[in-house]
Amino acid sequence: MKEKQTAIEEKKTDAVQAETTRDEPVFVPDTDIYEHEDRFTVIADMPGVDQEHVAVSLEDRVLTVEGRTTLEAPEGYDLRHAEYADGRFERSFRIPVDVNTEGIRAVINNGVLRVDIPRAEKQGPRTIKVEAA
Amino acid sequence: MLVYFTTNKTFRADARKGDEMMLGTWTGIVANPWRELSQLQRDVNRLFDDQARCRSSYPLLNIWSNDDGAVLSAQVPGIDPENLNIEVKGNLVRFEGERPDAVEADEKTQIHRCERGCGSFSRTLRLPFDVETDAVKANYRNGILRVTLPRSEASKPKRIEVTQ
Repeated sequence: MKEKQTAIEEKKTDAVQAETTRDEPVFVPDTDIYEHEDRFTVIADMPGVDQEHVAVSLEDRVLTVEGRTTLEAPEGYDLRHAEYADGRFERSFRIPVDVNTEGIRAVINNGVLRVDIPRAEKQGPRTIKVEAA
Repeated sequence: MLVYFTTNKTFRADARKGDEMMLGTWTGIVANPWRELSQLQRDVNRLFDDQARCRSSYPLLNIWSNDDGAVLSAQVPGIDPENLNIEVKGNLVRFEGERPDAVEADEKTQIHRCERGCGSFSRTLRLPFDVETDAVKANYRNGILRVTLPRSEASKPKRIEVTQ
């Protein structure tokens, strides 16, 4: 089956873009994206991120989710073994249809961010009245 | 002499070279290149095995420690703390839990990404000391589980005064 044109694309940065350096590690959160009849749902795992350090933005149909981990190392202990690091989560998606920006809701609970994006109301064909000059 | 049943001439030539070298090893001084090569292969395989094991282990852990004990921190987002089970016995710590299948799809739903895992997990760690079981504390916040494991008094090093 051919991919529907409503498929969500991950926003790709331009290849010619200059390399950037970051002062902290940036992670790509594991994400689920569902397209329901009336809305899109984006669910991203961001362990260690609380409500004050998460941001969701939508600009030119590009949805960006960002978050920063806020857990400090225990005081008086030395790190012996590390499988994950503190840093920032960031990921962007391009949403291919018009959405109702007013109706977007985002909730973070136990390190899981959930964003519900309602589709824009279908607008019927508009006829434009032509006036006589 | 080793005999290689092969039609590949170059391989046979190499094999002969190997044999000569091996005769040298007879004294135990000259290394055997074949053995070295297979050792290298084993090392490389182990490297990839380790990486694969590391990636598949869930949850990811950070461990801190000092003379009084250890603190473990695990990334387990989106879990009901009641579904987390921590068992401590002697110097063994076991985490167990389950992440519910969160796919919320009906027939009309299109799934564009499905990266978040689900199912039960378990990880056991062996610490270099016995844990004071009654004093273990666990806390779950923002998807991070943190367990404080104090070292038992009996396992702490004792200073012994030397008398004359």
